[in-house]
Amino acid sequence: MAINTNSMKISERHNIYIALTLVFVISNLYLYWFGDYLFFYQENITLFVFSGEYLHQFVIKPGGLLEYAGNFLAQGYFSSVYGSMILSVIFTSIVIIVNRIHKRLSPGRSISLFLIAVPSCLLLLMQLNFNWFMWSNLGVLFSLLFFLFSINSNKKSKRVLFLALFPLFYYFAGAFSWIYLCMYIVYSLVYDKGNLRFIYPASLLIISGLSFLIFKEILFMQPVDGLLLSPFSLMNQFMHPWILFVLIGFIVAFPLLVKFLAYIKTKKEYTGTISLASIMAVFVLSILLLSKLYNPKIANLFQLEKYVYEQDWKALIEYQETHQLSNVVAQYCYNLALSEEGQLCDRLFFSKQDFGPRTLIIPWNPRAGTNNIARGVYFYYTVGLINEAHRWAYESMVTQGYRPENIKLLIKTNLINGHYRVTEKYIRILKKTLHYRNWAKKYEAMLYRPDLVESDPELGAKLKLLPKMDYTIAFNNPINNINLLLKGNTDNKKAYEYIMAWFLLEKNLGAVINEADKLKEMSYSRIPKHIEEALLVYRNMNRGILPDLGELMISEETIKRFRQYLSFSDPFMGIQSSGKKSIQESSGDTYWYYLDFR
Amino acid sequence: MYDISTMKPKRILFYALILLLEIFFLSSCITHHFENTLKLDREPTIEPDYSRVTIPGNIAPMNFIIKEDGISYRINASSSNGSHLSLNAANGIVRFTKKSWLKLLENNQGGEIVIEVLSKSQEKEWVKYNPIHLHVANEPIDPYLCYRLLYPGYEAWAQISIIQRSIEDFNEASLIENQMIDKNCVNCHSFNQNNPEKFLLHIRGSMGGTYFVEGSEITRTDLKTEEMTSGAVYPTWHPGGKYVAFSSNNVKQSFHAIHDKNIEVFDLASSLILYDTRNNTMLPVKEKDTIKYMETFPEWSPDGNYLYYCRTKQFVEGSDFKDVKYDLVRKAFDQASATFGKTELVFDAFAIDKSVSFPRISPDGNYLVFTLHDYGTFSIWHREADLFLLDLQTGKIKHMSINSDETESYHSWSSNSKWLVFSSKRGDGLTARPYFAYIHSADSIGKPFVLPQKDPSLYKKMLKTYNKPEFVTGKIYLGPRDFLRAAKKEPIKAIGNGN
Repeated sequence: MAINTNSMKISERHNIYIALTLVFVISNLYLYWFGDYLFFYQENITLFVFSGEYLHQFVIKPGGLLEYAGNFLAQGYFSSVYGSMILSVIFTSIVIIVNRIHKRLSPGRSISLFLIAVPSCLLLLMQLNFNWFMWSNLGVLFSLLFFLFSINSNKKSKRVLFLALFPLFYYFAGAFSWIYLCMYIVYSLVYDKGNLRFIYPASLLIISGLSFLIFKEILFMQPVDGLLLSPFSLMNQFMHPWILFVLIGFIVAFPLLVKFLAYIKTKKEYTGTISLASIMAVFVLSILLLSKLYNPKIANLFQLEKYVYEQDWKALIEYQETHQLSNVVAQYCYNLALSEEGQLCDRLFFSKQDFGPRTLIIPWNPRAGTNNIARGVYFYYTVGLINEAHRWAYESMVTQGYRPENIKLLIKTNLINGHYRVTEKYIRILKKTLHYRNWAKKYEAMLYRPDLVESDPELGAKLKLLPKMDYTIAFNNPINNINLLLKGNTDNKKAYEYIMAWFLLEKNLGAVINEADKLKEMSYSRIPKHIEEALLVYRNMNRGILPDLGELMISEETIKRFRQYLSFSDPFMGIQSSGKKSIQESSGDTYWYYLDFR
Repeated sequence: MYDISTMKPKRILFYALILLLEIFFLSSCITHHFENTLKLDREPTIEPDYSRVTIPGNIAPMNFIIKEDGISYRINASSSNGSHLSLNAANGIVRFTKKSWLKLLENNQGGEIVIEVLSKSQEKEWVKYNPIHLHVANEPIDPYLCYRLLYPGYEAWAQISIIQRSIEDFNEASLIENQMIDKNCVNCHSFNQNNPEKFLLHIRGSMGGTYFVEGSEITRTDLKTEEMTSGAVYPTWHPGGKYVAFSSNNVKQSFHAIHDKNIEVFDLASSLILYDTRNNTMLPVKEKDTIKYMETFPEWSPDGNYLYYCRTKQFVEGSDFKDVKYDLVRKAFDQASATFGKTELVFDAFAIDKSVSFPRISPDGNYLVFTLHDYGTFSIWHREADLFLLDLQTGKIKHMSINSDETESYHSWSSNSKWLVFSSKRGDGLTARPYFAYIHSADSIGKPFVLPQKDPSLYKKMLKTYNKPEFVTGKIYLGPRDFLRAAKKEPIKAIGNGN
């Protein structure tokens, strides 16, 4: 009998080890191979600064310290190895904590052992929601840990002590303390005996209510929803909010589930096997859900944004041309990269262009979503409208807080504009970070040194693009801003090509032809490919007449391809659907194809 | 007598500890010898610049950073009242305790504080600089300063608060935190004669309205009547407290493309209105001239008999806002009938191709300080904006010596007319800081100094701006929760008068 009990204990221990190993390995592998976009996004949405001022923002509200701790850990997210490792450790720790809770609730053998893997698996699934941040994982971990400490002893004094500690826990974990509160109430109602099953929950409810009132009326200058919900992410920020509902529901009901499963009687010798099978089922289901819910489009989009942040324009161009993403942001990033590489009017149609000129400039609308502000800035920076780029970066900092990108852009735009005293403040911020310290030092050397700014390849190039006459930015007419930029600085080829790209995407052939005569004044040595293509369409429609291009000639290669394109279509019957595919293959990257088929 | 070899180890340890403590205490009593110091014939560079400034006798400790090379620093401060203090500043950050600072200021009205700075070089050599002199004025400053703290942003905003800060120490408290009121915009706090118990402010957004404070009562009102095309914006309290004159402005902003300018804020239309606080009615301040004008920034004379304001011809849509130049004008006011007389030109800024903003009259009625800039109405974004002083007795106008190369803009007077606080962007060109200047007379104005901070490096780090600094004669015993409670009530609608 004793041997039998021992072997069952060993089998239970094995099952726990299996659960621990599987959580660690699966989460590590999944996050390492598929979580790169998550780490990129979250690392760039917060900026952990080692300063008292930064800490101060968090100590003034319940849940702030949890957020601070989460941001501290997330600063290493620039490395996927670190990101996957730290999250795996957290998920594995949660299995250990839940196992301890399970042991406390169900000291004997039980088929409910598989439940210990469920919270971690659900948390792994929650990572599919890229707005589920590190501090949310910590919030769940600490709620479970605090619950474990609360029920670890039956001694009244210890139970009372943890009830008394609830206000502190509320201050630390904010809204996550409500998960603890609900779990505790369920536990007390199910497991405590006599009047205690009501006294403990009632006491906790009174303490939490009083804590809330004291926080609201005396301690913190926070709105009611902030006191109740912070730092919980809003449901509407998640792609799969149901996972969160299941997660919270499961944790709260955990004591009840354990109790319920304890009533299911099985043969002793089968308990271990059933546990193992159910643990494996949890993991299989998790893997199935991960593979079903994983959205590669989001990963691709974030990959493109990552290239923008890294200014790896060549890689970005190659990535979009390979993946052909039909997303407005992806195509906007692609067009930025082309402009930075001076190929906007040469390669514009090498990628899908599904949204017309909207993929060139993100319109200003502070109510349309703050990410638009963060993204829209790059167009202005690329084209050399540095004051407007500064404005967008500044608006981003004000509305979204410090982010690596908005602070970096504020440093660059202020250096270009010669506003060194303000630049110093932004540099000071980045110098107090882990990952951007060296970046900041590079730009610190340029303070009060216009010669160094001018000789910097990136900033020096932007200086040459600056507007040379003042005008006010027209919100509702972005192309007018670029026209005025070009009017004041006729050497700004990026502005010129953006204008031409705008007209090309608008299918405004007349405007392209009108602007084409500027090519000769702007010291172009050859006509950009898509402008050649537009000129050929125009010539074909107007019996060989072309605008004055000076010595610039349309290349033989483009003329040859145009003849080939025309040969596919019957001018009277149009293009047959059977021929579309072959045209796409031979001419899908041309303005002609965009004009006729997009 | 004692043989150490026979002593117990515990006892040896005890005596050794006593010896160490004696050495420690004695060493701290040893005075530094500075006879062989290198003397430099210049003042040390300190930040903020407090050299030769005129300060009030009730100012908070004027902490500063020594911007000279050195491995350690020593400060010797003495006062005309005979007080002395010395302190070491290893990192160059000089922080006076409140007690020691008060000793220097005590009974020192009209006297001065002399601060001697010594720095120790890498070679362990002391360097002595010429002492820094701070003049102490005879008149105190109002004990509180109220200002709006926010990012000097463009269109979007996040955190905005109105803060009351004690000028006598570093205590500060929020009057309003906008995160408590649905992130609404808060602005235009305006006090009736620096009175902490009678003031108003605007909230824009879901909890919008003008909030009038009378003692501990806050009343939310909606001042926009059907006759008004825009809401009530810039306020000025009539000294009697019965009326508040506002300008009603249709404000627009746009952004410049070139690097030396950021934002342009301008009015498409504006006019003056008079709010009667007793019967909650809004009256138009009619302009009898046939020319259509834009009127803004009203300011009552301290006797309540004149309303000063800025005026320009109506802006024509499509014309260049750089051609908009405001003059300073005034209207006589009959307090019995609440009617206005004709408009008189006080300062013809248009004639000199300039524009006037923010006329503010000293409570004694002697001076009017205004901001002068190249064009338009919103001087805070004009680097060329400077403060000018109009002597209301002689009519003479002076460019004030307190100006810098950067923007000087909003300003207000202390209740005793001896101190002026003004916003200046001289620190970094972007963020405004409150500077105080002693106004002895039109010809004798003290060198201004920035509001002292506990951490003297604060301004170097801080990205937020101090907006609309106003002196207050005492503490305001209201806070964000009080305004939240008031904001939850329905606003009282002002009654219009179409006449």
